[in-house]
Amino acid sequence: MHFADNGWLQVSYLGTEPPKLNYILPESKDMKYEEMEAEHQRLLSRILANEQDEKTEPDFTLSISTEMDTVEEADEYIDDPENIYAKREGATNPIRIKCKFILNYNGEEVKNLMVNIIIPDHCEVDKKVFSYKILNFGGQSDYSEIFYIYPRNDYFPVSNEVVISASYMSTRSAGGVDLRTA
Amino acid sequence: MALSCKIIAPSNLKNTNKITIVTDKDAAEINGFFEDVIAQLGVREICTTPNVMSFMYHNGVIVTVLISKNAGKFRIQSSSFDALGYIVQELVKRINIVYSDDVKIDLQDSIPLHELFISIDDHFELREKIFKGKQKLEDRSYQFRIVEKRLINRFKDKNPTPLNNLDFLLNQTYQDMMNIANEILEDQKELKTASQNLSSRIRMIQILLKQKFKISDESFELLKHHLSADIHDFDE
Repeated sequence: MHFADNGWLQVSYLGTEPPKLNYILPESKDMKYEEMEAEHQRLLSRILANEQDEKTEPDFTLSISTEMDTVEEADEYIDDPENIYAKREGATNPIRIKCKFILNYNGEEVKNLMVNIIIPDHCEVDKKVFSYKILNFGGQSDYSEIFYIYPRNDYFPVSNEVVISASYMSTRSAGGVDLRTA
Repeated sequence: MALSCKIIAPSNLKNTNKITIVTDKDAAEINGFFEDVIAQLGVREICTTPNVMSFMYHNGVIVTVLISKNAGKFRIQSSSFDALGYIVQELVKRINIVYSDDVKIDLQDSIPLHELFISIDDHFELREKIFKGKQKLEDRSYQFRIVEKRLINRFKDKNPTPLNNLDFLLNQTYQDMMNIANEILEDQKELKTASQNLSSRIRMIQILLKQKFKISDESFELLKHHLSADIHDFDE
């Protein structure tokens, strides 16, 4: 079974054994077509209503941009008992890259904001999750946080991809909230 | 790339693992493909050779990229096969960027499937070893609980029977449990490395297959889903 990151679910069967399914025929009974039609219409109207609701564009949107600095040597003590962090020759502190994510929001405040940082396996990050109960932008559209990525010295790199994603509750002008992702 | 490796002076170490990529473009200077990395690492002074560049991963393994002077051939070589994947991936990406996708990239040798199969076997063996270790640990913990129960019963007894070396057995079982748990921890570390290596090899094979057989982007996405490089070593 394979579940791809874009939502594809694939079930494969490898083998030569024929399927041993026992087919059970349903007992025959009179179908109530009118009731079925009514049920169908009721469900269809709910689906359509939901679809319309989803198409509503949010009043306020949050976007994320990033900045990445050059490689530097950490200027503070980093606990490394297993000696897994990459260091420059003769240096005691590990090397790291200073990164910054900038949140841009055109509304006043966001609630239950959670920013997740996913890094490749050959790196460590000093903070993986940034969470805020309420983040008030107070007239400013930008809010930024700094985090550091530390490369490890025990794995071969496989990818460079650093993924930053955010989920938050955004208020609607018509009332209510939406769960949004950025 | 600065996260993964550094650029060093061209290395002449013995390289037993090689992959040659052939393009239909004329020879170019290697610095042009890694301009951003040179700037980010601040190593312009050591990048003076136009057709050679060496990268050193943080684990000390070196990969060298050589460009042929006459034709657009790139040779990626290293002492470790697992080290090739990342640079091959980066190089192919950068060749496409530099030539704005207007380039034919081919592979001179055959797809290194043998190395992939070795990596799959290594990974599988480690998984099996951990599985057996966990079963052994389960047996020992069961034995430990049984002996402990018997000892407690005797302790509560008003007229206890002799211990019959039960205390020795308890100590021995405890030691066994600790040893097996430590072995499992070591194996899990090895498994993580094996997973990384396998993932790296699969990614490289994916890219080589795409270039060699001119697979379209859509088909390449399908290939990536079927030959996935995401290795998850969780318990099923």
